[in-house]
Amino acid sequence: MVAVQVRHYLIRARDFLKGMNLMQDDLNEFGYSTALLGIHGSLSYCDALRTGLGSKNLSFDDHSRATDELKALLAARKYERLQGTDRLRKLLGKKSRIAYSGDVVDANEIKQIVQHAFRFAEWAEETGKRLKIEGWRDE
Amino acid sequence: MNEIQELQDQHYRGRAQNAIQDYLVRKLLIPKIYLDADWSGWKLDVLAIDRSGSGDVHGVQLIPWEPGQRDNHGWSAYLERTVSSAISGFANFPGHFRYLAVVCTEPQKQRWIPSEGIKNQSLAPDGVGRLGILYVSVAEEDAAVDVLLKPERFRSSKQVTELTDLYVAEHAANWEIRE
Repeated sequence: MVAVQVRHYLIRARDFLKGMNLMQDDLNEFGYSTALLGIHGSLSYCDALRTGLGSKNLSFDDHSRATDELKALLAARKYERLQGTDRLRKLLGKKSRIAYSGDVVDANEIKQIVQHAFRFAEWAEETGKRLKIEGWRDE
Repeated sequence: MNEIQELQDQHYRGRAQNAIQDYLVRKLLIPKIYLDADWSGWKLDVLAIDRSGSGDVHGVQLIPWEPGQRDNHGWSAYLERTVSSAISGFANFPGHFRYLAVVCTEPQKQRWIPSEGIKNQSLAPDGVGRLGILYVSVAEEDAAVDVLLKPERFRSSKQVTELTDLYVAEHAANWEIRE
C-alpha cells in the first residue's frame, strides 16, 4: 500500500517537473506557471519521500512543517545528505510570492527557482534510490 | 580520406551528439547523459539514463549519411538498407529505449521517410518495444533533431537495473544536474 502511495506522489512530481522543463523556454510568457510547477513538483517529491519513510500525516498547510518532518525522517534513517531539505525550504518559501503576492517577479528569480527545482528533484531521486524506498524505482 | 575531411566528419559527429543530448535533456527528466559510451560491450554514441541515473536507459547509435551515398536504386534505398542492417545490429540491446539517428551532412535535403518494412522491423518480436529513428541535420546553422519513428519502451530486466547502477557509479556524465 505504501508503494502505491509513493508511486502516486512520484508520478505527480515527475509530471510537474516535466511540465516545468517544457515551459522554461518561454519564461516571458509562462514564467509564473513554470515556477509554480517547479515548486509543486518539489512538494510532491517531498510527499513521496515522507510517505516512503513512514509519515502518516501529509496534510500540513504550513509547508515548513513538511520540510521539518522530512528532515527528521531522514535523520532517523541516519541519512547524511540533507542539503535537499534546505533547498526545499527555499523553494516552498517562494510559493506565496509566486502564486498570490502583488509583486512582479523577474525572469532571473524564476530561473533560479527552476534551477533549485531541478537540483531538488535530482537530490530527491537519488535519496529515494539510496534509501530503497518501496515503489521508487521502475523494475 | 584526407585530414580536413576527417576533421569535418568529427565535427559533424560531435554536433549530432550534442543535438541528441539536447533532445534527450528536453524529453527526459534530469537525466545523466554520456557520450561515446561502452554499455556492456555495446558502443553507443549517446547514452542517457533517466531520473538522475535511476530510471530508464536510452541508447543511441548514429548513422552518418551524405546524400551522395546511394545504391543502384537511389539514396532512399541506400538508407533503407543501411538502417535495416543497423536495426538488426541493435537487437538484444540491454536497455529500455533504443534509437538510430540518421545524421545528414548536407543542407536542405529531402527528408527520408522510413518504409513500412523498416517500421515493422523496428518492433520487438513480441511487440513490447520499438526502436526509434531520429533524423539529425548538422549542415544547417542550428543542428536539429526530428523524430521519424517514435520509440516505445522495451522490456526491463534485473540485468538492466544492475548494469545501470554499476555504470552510474563508475562513469562521469557529460551532462547532469549537479548539486
